[in-house]
Amino acid sequence: MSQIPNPQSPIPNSFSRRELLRLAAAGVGSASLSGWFGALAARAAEPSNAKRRTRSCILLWMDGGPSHIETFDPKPDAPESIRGDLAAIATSVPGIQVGEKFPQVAQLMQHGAILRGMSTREADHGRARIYMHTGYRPGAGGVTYPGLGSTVSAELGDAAAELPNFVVTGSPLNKYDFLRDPGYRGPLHQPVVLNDLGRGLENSEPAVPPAEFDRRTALLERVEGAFARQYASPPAAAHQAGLASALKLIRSDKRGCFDLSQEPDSSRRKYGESDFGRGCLLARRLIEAGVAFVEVYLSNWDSHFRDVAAQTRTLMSQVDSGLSSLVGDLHERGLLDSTLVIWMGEFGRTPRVNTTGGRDHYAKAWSSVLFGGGIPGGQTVGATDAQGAEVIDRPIAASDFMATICRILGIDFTKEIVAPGGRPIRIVEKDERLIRELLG
Amino acid sequence: MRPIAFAMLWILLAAAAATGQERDVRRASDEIDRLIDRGLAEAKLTSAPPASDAEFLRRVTLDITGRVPAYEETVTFLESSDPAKRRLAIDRLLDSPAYGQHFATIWNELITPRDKGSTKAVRDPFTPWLAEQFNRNRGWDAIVTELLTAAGKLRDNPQTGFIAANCENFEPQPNLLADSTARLFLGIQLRCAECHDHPFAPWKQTDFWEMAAFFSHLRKGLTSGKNPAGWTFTESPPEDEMNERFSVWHVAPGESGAALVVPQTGGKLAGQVVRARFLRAPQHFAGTQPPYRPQFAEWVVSRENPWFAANAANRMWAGLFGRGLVEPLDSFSADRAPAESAVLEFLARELAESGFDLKHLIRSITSSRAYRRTSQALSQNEADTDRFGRMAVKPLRPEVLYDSLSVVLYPVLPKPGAKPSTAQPLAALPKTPREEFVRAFAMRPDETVGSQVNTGVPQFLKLLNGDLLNRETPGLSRLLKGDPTPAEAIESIYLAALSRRPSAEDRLWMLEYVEGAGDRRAAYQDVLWTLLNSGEFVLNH
Repeated sequence: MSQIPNPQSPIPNSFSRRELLRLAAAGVGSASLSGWFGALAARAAEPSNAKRRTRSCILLWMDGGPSHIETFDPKPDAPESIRGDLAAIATSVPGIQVGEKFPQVAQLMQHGAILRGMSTREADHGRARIYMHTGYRPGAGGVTYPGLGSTVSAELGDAAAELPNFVVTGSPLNKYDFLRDPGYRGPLHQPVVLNDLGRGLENSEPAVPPAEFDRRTALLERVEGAFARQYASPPAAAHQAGLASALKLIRSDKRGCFDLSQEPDSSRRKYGESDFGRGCLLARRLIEAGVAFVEVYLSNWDSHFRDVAAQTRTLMSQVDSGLSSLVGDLHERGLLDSTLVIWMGEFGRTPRVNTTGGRDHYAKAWSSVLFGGGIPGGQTVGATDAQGAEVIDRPIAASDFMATICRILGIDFTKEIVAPGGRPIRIVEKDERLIRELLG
Repeated sequence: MRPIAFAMLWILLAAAAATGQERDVRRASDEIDRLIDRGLAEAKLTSAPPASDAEFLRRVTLDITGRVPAYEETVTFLESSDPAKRRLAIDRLLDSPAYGQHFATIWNELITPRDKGSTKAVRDPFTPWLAEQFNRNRGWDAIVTELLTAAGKLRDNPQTGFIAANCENFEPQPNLLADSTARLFLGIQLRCAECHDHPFAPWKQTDFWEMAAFFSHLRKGLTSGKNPAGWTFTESPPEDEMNERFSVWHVAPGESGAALVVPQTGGKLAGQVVRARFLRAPQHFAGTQPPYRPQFAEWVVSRENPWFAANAANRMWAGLFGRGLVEPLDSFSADRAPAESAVLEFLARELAESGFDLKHLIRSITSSRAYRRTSQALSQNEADTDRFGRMAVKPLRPEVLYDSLSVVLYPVLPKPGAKPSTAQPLAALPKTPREEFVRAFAMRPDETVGSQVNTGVPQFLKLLNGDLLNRETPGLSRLLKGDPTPAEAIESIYLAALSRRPSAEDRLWMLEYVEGAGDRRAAYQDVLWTLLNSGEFVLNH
């Protein structure tokens, strides 16, 4: 009889609460059985062709903080010092206007909702980035909080899937270690990062010929199994589980979904010849293949000065092709209702154009946009005043936003996860107010 | 006195001192075992059998020097019949500069967390300083005093790294300094009490701010720039009131002593003036002239402070056993000092009485039977989760994984005839800077413990398919010199990678593999690849 903790039994009887905490820290499930431990157990109880996960999420992250006034909360009637030099255009939904750089997205507004009352408390890039990814202010309580991607991976991901449950792509990833740290969710819920879309998934190709790879991985699994039995312990179990996931991915024939050259030229052109466009195309392919969460980074929205502000116009056009193609394709393939697409940055920009022709950080009033996921489309939620400076209707705090996203995805955000040190932590910080308009 | 007689006397004295030290260590480790065994008996638990020589050597080398033993060290140790060889190995490892470097890595991460913006600029001077203090075996009380009272520029006085790591907007922050001091040096989590009374420990908000007030006059002097190496930290009054200022909320107006105004984020205490007080002392601190930190440091490291020695001992134990005697490591409180664990109470006293001699603490713990038990799973000790009847299997730190890969793949060989030594610096892995590797492999689930190797998919992909373990290395080619038989080659690869000889089963599997392969050299490469990718290499057991 083997002594290895059986990942298919929900609680190994021989583990105390403390061991379970360590297990959680090591990435082997969590004390509340919400991680892959629980998922595996649940899966074991289901027939082999278990029903597919019903919800996926794509986060399009606009790093640096886009101006809300130039994108999704235009103020055509304000003086130029506020309005800027971009016009507003009509959309497919009467009464809703967006910035002129989004003509294609505008035609899909019936599927989307613009949240114009975002009002958060962090206006420093580093802190706000973490705050808006995790819903917790960085450093609070001495705990590393998981980002939305890790949460979705843990709560909705399929632990037995061949593909990773959380994938990130986009330019500046190496700078942002926070994204790769799954916090108390453990190593299985960190993202797989694609630095270079042209090169596909790094290190996923065996370094030796297939026959040799098969032989040596068989040997490795034998050696690993012997060690995990002889030294049965949470770290040994976590190591064995991580190894199994990696080998499953390497052996998977679904790995082709990372290869964009399999797409017809026409679709690559439609998404746009930019890293962001390619990232959106990859996101669609991954969602189709069953990945739970994809994050696409688009940087350089930090438009303090005139020249940077001018360059963000290019970013807007990239967003227009990428986002509209993504939403259009998902809709066409019947995947939009089960896939929530989020467009957001860490904050907005100051309503008044500054003396150097740019706009500075502004967390008090800004916009985010949601498409799909079964939300009622064709609406705006909340509003700012005539200058885009104050939220005058329906302010949305970080925890309101996070809780609503979780609800849309079918995640119980009131659930407490036990972080290392025995501290129970709610998925979303308390005192949240759900955005009812989005819940249908 | 004639030179020869003098030399002989010196040798005699040294020998006497050595046996004195041995006696001290024996006494302390016996006491540890008496107390651990008592706990096991109370819980009706059986202890695991002793670890083998190979298990012991790999474990103690990783724990003390942060790397696996080199092939030569392992062979020498396993072949030695000296009954004192384990004690001698501990002495050799503690004498190696790698000891100080490893403990500097551990403490550096706690003191200057990676996510702070200026980490590298702080660490560059701070790490070597810290390593030197450990290697000189300065008392822990002296090291912490230096950290708490440091002044001047980081580049001249690297011990100011502790302050530099607790700055915001280039200014030392009393709240961050109080939090770090309490958590790292006293084992107390006061941070929750920054904004409200602690939810599940009896700490009050005032406890937090009274400690912070000792740092209220600490500031960055008249230097600018973003590089902390050039910042001057001082507690003296500003030379130029116009150009130098105290941070807005540090110093209470009209207060002459150590006091501060609690900022707006301070919940119900916001805006109030709080005066300094040693934690839970009956009276406020009476000093009226800065500097205040020397007296604060004196209190922190004093033997009357119940938390200081206990925290150091608990953290050391946690590093060596994979969990603390009291957990979490920052959960001491007014009524929950070391008394909860008899072992910790003893170790705290022993540490204080030895003059906070960390090497003595390590010798005492690693000489105990408790430390020298196997970490293999046995049916009879399944129920033992916190009695230390079985050694834990511990994750490595990313730095330790890097250094261990270097030892195996790119060994720095001792000169012919020279004794094996860990004194040489390790070779860097080609195309893989240590800093970059550590970033890619670190995971930090808990800031009280620090980072561990991340065993997720991206890290596995890198090791399984990346260049690092898939190319010719001197570590392998030197083992294949002289055309060894497959059995000999397999044994050497096991000794180099896993610091042990292969079991009968291992031999069988590996021989079958090598003999079934077309290209024998590629097959040996596969064997090494297999061992380095296995949990046995990536974990400390």
